[in-house]
Amino acid sequence: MKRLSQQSPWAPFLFLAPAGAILSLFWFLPAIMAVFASFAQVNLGSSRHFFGQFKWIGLDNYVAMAHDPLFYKSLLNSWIYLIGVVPPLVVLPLILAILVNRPNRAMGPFRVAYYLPVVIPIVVVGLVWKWLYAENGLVNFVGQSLFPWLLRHPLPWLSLPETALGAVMVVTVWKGLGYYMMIYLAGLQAIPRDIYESADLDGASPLQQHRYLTLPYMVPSMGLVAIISCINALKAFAEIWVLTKGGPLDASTTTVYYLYQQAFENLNMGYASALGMVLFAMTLVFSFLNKGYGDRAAMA
Amino acid sequence: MTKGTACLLAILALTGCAHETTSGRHVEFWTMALKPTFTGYIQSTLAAFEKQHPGVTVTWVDVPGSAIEDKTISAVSSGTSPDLVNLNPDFSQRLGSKGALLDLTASLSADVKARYFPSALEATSLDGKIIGIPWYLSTQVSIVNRALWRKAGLDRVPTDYRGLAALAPRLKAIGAVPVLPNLGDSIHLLELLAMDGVPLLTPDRRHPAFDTPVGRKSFRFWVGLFTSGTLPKEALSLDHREIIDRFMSGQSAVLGSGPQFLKTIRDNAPQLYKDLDVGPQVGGTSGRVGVSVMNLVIPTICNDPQDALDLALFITNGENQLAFCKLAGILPSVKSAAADPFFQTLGATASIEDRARKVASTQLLRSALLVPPMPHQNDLKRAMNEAFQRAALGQQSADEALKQAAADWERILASP
Repeated sequence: MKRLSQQSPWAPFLFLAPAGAILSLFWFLPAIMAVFASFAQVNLGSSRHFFGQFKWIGLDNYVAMAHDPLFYKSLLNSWIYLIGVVPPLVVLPLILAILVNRPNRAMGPFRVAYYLPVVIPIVVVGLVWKWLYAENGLVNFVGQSLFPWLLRHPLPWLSLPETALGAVMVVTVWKGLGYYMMIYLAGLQAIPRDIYESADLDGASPLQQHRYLTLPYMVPSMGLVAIISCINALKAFAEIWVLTKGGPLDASTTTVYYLYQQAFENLNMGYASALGMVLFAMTLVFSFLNKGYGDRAAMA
Repeated sequence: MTKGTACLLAILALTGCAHETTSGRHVEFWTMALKPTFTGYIQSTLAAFEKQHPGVTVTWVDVPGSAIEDKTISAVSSGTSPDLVNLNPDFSQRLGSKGALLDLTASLSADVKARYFPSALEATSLDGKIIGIPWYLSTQVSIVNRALWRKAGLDRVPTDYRGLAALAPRLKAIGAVPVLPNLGDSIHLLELLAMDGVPLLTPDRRHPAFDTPVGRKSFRFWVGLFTSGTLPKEALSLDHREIIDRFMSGQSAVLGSGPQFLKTIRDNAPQLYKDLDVGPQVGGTSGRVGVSVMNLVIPTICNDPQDALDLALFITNGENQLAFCKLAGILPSVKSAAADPFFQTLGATASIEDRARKVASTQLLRSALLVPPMPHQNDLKRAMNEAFQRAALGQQSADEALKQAAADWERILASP
């Protein structure tokens, strides 16, 4: 009996159809609608038909964006956020992964502990960190105990424009450590053990082994983590929503958060869609990098 | 409804498959966070409506308070909106400004309009048009942590913010603040200015009117509370829920809130609940008392506006509102229900909720809508809050910040 794939050239498409339909319905069609909306003023609910709510205004939304100082501020905040979050998310999980990558049952609880923040709901994370960052919270207590010369008075970390974005970045890094650690752990466990044994026989110290063996082997994983964390940083929303709501004085308003404000607070769906197009372009660059990187890794 | 469902509905709308009833008349009614506490009340009210209106069926959908705005946006944009929705006036104004809500002005007779408190009806208006039916009301009462009050050696609770601020040093000595105002992302700052008798707009509603000696004095007072350290700077970004949390953890001595939040304290801080007191709303120099309104709105694209309006009027009639008020710590928007002895009678074993209800209902008669609906209200609120933050964080003087806010309002009000 012939297999289905041998019977018909359409068979692969049949298998792809369900996923394709779901993706089209929930991703591609809304994305295409957003493209249209970015050239329109959308009067929500003014018509039963979706496009009936559109009043075509050409490039007006993009022109308004070009003259909107808050857009530039949000763009700057997005890049500061990305630059502040990605390096720690590339380096720290690798260190954690190396530490817990031992064939020792005692490491289990540590792996769980590091991964736990990934699965804690973001609302809970927000509540906990708001208390930690409070003026009488643990962060100020520890800071003043350890660095009294630096932290003379307790700071309202989330209420100062100078510290709010940094405080959100710390939470993003804390929450993401476990996820990226798991990617590194997978990479570490693919390194043949015998090369470490050879290095050991050659008299290489543990530090030298990591410097000259682990790191070169982990470069592909590091690249992957860097690109994924860049994309996630550009799309970051939940942390900002639960911790600062973009404030104070827009100090933590990133492009995604600004898009949300325009869409769901000001109900400017057209302008928000235009912001979405800019965000889409930025994310696309990293997505291509990711794909190119994945292709190269597959060929290697 | 998930985002996915919203997308699906959008596509159904695109393909001309928006929901239609196949037989009879049907009203879909959305409420905000009333299940399960008030399930019995809502179901019996809707059953009574259906009995009075043969051929009309009502589907009740209860939506969490935090999700109702997003879900309403999804529904109206996808052409599948409910017929009647319970929203707050702020969001109603924003939706109404996009043409998404029906103008009910012509549908309501003078008699019907006269049933409601004028301030409640004003809260549900936009540019002189009535875009919603007022449902239930709330006026803030002062909920006092008596243990903190005793510990600080204090006696009576002042009825105005200046008196309360004067007690700050004694409360600070025991690690507490007098009160935490809701300045995070709300309209409360505008209400605080209005409580001091500061007009927000000129009578023609086209220009800001707050940059005056009275306005500057009020603004300076509130900014001074932060720059002097009387209130912590983190209070600049706290929302109402967080302010209740701080009160429950003993960080503030007085909580300004609707009586309905006593239940939250009872459930989450039972020890504190046993030692609470209630008093009138802490106010400003004008003696004005504010009122909060919840309303029922009818989306423009609803299936049957007349049945939806009939249902809104039925739910908000005196009898039904009184029954609802007896279950929840709220006040009615119709005068006939508010006149019921229930609101003024206290039994020998009156609970703190009963006392709060009496305080709130007494205030209701002299309450006013402190911040009338304004065009571009969200942008105006944001501009004022940001000016306040700049001043409170020391980036600008209070006077400069208020002047900047007035310039921003002028620009916003001039925009189409």
